[in-house]
Amino acid sequence: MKNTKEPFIHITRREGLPLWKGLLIRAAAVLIALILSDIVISAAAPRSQGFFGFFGALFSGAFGTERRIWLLFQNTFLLLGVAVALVVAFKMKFWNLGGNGQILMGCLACAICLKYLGGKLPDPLVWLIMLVTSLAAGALWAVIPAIFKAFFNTNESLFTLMMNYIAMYLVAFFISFWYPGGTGAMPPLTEGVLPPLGEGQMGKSLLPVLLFAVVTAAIYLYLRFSKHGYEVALIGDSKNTARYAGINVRKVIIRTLLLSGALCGLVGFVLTGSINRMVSTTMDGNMGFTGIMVAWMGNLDPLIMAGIAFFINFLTRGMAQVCTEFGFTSEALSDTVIGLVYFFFIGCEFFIRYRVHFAGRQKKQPGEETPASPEDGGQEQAPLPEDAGAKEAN
Amino acid sequence: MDEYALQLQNISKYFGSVAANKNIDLTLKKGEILALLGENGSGKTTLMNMISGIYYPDEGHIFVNGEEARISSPQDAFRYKIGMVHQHFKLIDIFSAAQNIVLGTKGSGLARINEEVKAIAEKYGFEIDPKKKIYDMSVSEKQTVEIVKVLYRGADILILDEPTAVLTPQETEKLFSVMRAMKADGKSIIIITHKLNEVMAISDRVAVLRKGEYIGCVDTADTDPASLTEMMVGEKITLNISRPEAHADRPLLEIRDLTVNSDEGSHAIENLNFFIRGGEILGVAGIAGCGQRELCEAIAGLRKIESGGIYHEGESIVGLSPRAISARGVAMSFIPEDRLGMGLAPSMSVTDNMMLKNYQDHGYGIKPLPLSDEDTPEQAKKKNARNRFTEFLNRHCPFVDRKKARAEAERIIEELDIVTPSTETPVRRLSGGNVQKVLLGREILIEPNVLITAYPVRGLDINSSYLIYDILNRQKEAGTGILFIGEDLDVMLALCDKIMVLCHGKMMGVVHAEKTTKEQLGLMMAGALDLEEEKGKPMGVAKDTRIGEDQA
Repeated sequence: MKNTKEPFIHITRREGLPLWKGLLIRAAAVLIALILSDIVISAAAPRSQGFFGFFGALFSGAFGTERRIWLLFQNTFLLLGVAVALVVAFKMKFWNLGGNGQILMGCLACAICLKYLGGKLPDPLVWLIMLVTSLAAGALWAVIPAIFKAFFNTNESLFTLMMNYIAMYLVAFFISFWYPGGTGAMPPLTEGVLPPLGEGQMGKSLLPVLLFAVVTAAIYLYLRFSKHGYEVALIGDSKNTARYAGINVRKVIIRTLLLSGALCGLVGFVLTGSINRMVSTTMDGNMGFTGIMVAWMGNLDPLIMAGIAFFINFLTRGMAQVCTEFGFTSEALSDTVIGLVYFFFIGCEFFIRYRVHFAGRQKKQPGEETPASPEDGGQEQAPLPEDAGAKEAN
Repeated sequence: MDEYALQLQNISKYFGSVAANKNIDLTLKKGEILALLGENGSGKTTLMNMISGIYYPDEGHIFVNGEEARISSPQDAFRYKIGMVHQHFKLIDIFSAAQNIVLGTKGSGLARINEEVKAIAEKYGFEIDPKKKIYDMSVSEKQTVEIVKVLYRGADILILDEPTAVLTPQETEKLFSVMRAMKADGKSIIIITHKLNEVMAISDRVAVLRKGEYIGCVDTADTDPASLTEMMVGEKITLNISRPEAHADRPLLEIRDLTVNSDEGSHAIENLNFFIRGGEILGVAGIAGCGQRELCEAIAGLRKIESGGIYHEGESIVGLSPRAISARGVAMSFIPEDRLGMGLAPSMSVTDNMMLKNYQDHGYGIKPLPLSDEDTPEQAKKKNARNRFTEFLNRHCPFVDRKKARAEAERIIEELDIVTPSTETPVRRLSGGNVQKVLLGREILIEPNVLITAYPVRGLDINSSYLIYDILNRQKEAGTGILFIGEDLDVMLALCDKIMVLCHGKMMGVVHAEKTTKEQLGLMMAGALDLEEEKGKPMGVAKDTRIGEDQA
């Protein structure tokens, strides 16, 4: 059936790929990315540790000591907490890109409480006030764009994004207000902070691990089984339908973003109230953006997202160790490798969703495009044939 | 070979494992009008998309004027002088007609384009104002722009995808005369349509597809609607819509002096008066945008009314929430142009769509304790207290009850013969007819006494349409008052008991379906005939739907 006029590359959609095959493709993609990075890094390193040294350092950075393991889990669950907070909004197709700002506002509210109430009120009361104000501050930062979206249909992506900067400069303002002559850094506070739950790193990390494990489970149940979760998914799928079902769309948008922002504020509460005991403009650790990636790579499913958050932190901490051992002083290389792994991991989705056919080798026609297919936009399912034209028209 | 403008050989196209087209052979002679007929999902649009460069065939050959052509993009299609007018217009609202027409071509200055467009229009008998903005245009004007756009680019082969679906009978006639003029000029035209009477009226030959396969091609002169239907469906079916005797009883829904604004703030519905009785189907005819949508939304409580009243069983429902109105038994199913946008959530499963209207009432499923006569007063008191408590719990349950919804989904699938792999399949994966059955099924699940249904057979093929008519008739016989907003006048004449005609939101009159004609309805829809103004009681006027003095 092949004829010479067929385009060189022909792409069709795959269907019914078994789960294990998909996982195998993803694992292979990650492995190839790591081996490539290994080769590049080993070749360029001032103190190369050899091909296997790379993997050794990678694992030792993540799991080398008890402290490292606890730090890995602490960061994983913090990131998971942020990602889960964002998923609540994403399910509604509300693109909350303001995670960083919402976390920072939680941190700032917490720091203000510590600064002015720490030591003056009984500790448990300070904790309670800290918790409430952090949640409220995070929620406030998310609900402002939500209100504008609900009533004036403003673009939430830009709005939430800009709110990040306002939060950052607010934090900078408070630091220079409190320490006018300082370097812009804030010394850790001691009074009113949350005490560790045990000895060593474990004592510090246990709170975020437990707290966000519970939060993740709760949000999973909320989105999947609750009436609120149903409304969120409905608005995400079709606002008109939600309206026709008699749902107050504005109310749900605002309610959902209050929850999303409050969860980010909760991360801020843990960061400032327990882990760092101070606030800085970079305390969010960019988790508001990394969380977006976790959410999407995890297909908005909290269980898969937990795996992705773990994997990302494993890479980050492992690569830091690789850089130290291989004698790199800059972090750029570490970022490059992590970027490479992302690239392969996300890129392999193409091969999971599509099958690529090459035309006969006899006649290669350069400069040819693959046939324009309207459903290339990354929709999950193949539209019904008759449906395809209509889809494209939308 | 040169007598053929277009020739397809062995064309196949697969989506995953589904064959949308399988070994299709099709020929289009120069200067002929070929009707392409087939049910939904028979692959008509897919086939046309391959000719116009949107898809590339997996197998087979396309010949244009006898030479093999490789069409891998719409630009290629234009090079081969093939132009397609899609069912959903692809025009830019804020541009003028001329700007839209010239878009994407290396056109000359706007003044010259206006002249050229006028020349094309005159040649074929179009009426078009090149300077008019698209947003000011009616549906038929937009369609004219689409056709002129294709002609402007020099197309010799035109593909029209369901062009008459949105037109009044008069507009359709106008379109057909234009098509005949184009044919006389040597253009070849493929027209996709569901309407057999139009096929008979306009085409020279008819090609029929069924389930992606080519069934055959016949000369229109040698065939008739019944045999075409048989080719299309694969079996003989009767083409008569049954209309059970109406047992119209008391008025269920009354509309008095209703005025509703459109989104833009102008009057979409003006001083409308009518009522629906139980056990009858009242049709609403009118060209697109004459206020049908606003009327539906106002009744369902989704749109604020400006003045007037809406009474359900004698009580005003103005100002009630949509949920409260639905709880009173007023159900609405509105099928918009994209067929999924309202009423259904496309990515959600059948189950999840089933609970759209009643998820709020889902409880824990705790059953109340049965009361019996043997209970001592004390026991009865205890039981009552417990039942009140469980009712309170159920009412405030934060969770949805998917088990219940799944059972409802299964019931609807069974009752309405919905073809779906499972209750957990997203509705957008179902074919059009089944999607619409899910929607209608959910609305009749709440056992409504007033059912408002807008375009329930929009885009459906014959078999599915008849199933929908059956469902509506069953509801009617059960005593439901049905407001049927339709677009196909033939269907409305056969199905409805009475037809109310709207033009620009004003009532043009209500007529008995048996005593009126398509032409009369067409004139009323266009605003040329206003029975409300006329005193002399023209034929077919149905008085009892219009609120008389005694009821007012």
